[in-house]
Amino acid sequence: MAALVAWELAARADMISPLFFPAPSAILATFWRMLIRGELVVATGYTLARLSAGLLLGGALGLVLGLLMGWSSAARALAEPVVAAVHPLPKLALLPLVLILFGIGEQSKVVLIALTAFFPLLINTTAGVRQIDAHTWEVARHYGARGWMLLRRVVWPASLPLVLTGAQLSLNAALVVTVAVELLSAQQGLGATIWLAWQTLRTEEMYATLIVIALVGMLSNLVLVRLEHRLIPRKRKDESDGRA
Amino acid sequence: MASNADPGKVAPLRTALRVDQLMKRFVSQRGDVLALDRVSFAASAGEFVCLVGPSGCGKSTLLRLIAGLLAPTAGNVVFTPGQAQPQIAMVFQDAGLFPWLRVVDNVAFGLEARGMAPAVRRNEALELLQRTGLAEFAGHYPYELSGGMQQRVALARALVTQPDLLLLDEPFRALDAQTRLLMQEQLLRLWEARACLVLFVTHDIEEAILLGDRVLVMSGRPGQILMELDVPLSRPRDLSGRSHVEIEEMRWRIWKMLEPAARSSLALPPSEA
Ligand SMILES: Nc1ncnc2c1ncn2[C@@H]1O[C@H](COP(=O)(O)OP(=O)(O)OP(=O)(O)O)[C@@H](O)[C@H]1O
Ligand SMILES: [Mg+2]
Repeated sequence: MAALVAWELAARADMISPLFFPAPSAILATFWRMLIRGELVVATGYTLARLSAGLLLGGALGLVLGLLMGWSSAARALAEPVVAAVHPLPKLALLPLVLILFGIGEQSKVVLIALTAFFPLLINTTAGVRQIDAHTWEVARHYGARGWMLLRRVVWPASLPLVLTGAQLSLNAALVVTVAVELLSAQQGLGATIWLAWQTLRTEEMYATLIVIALVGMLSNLVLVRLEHRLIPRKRKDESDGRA
Repeated sequence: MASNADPGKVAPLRTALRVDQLMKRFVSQRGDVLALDRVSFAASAGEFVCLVGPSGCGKSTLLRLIAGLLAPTAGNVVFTPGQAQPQIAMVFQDAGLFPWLRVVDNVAFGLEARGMAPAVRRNEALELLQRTGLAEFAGHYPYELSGGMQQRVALARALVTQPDLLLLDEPFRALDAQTRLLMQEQLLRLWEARACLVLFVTHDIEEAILLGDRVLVMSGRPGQILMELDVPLSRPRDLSGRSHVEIEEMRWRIWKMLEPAARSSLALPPSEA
């Protein structure tokens, strides 16, 4: 708060360049104007659409393959080298390749976002299944659980906490890449708005858009936390054994 | 598996059990452990067999081998009649409930695995919860229950599957004396109604005598059967009449048998007497 006030005063007194660091009040006014004119709403719509398409596609794939890799050591042996090779690549560096493969339209953007969202969920879901302890498997097996029921009643709930952590990592990584892709190659969206504002030196607009991106990030994380509370109502105890 | 609305209706197979020269060695980098060494015994259909032995002598391991959850290093577990695989239900030493399932769903787990319809399995689970005195906790999660209550849920989960062979690994360990007595009585009632084969592990010699037709006494690790004792008490048992002379005498004999192993497992010096 104090920093904001200092910033405001410094900008008004011309101690810092208002061109690069416009006063917070000016940014807020611009934010409001852009909101009213609808341009921020439209840009946010584009960004959210790409983000959710990529998240859904990459996340779902990561989840399913993660369950498979956690469950079957054969699948793990098959996929692990590929994951180890592709995962550390900065996904943005793949943009040219993706553009070649999928063209310059929306498709390539979504593919890149999906690729980004894919790995954290894949890795966390695999870990989530693998950390299920031997005794849990033993009890489930002893009482005859297999196939779909084993998945639904044991494997899924047991790995859910790590899956949700993975979902959060995927979400944040995907948001970063969405904005970055828009900066690099889009006409619409929050990233594109920032780039345009920068190129035309309308820095208030740039800051106003940054506020929106921060809000999108905060709100989507909040949604995930809510989801977590909804899906895991219980308090977890690692050892629910009888030693009272 | 056909669903059946009345839990009293599916008669157990006349399952008898023969354990033949059973051996189990756990192999690991930190050194091998011989848990069981040539354990042999037989149990006839409908019998209630108790197993006592010092901590770490392989009682849980023996139950796991019989349940088919572990493979023996040598020896066999044979069920008779040999034609049908009996239904086996085990109450694990640590309850082993699923923390993400409500109590009623934990109890109904084995029924669900058999594909029983939700309403039917729910009813059966509720009935058993009733009989174990936990009906009002059906909708709770395991962490909301005490250790002893969790153990009773685990017992209900085993009983509801109407097993031919019931394996119990210290199921009443975490109960206070009064609840324990009531649960012992309840278990005997349920067993008398069903007459399945029961293998009951306990470290409480008196409990073994009070409940069992027969008591198997195991040595310290590697576990071996030291002796078998028939319990001369009649059925149905009156658990409150506990101070019979025979019981005292049996208890003494079993303790004398167990004492050296128990002492050495705690690294205590041999007794003076
Ligand atoms: N999965 C395992 N891997 C390696 N060693 C094991 C394993 N399970 C049991 N053991 C060893 O086998 C021996 C017997 O263990 P077990 O749990 O059967 O004893 P127990 O008689 O049930 O003891 P308690 O009365 O304390 O429950 C122990 O020495 C234990 O260390
Ligand atoms: Mg044990």
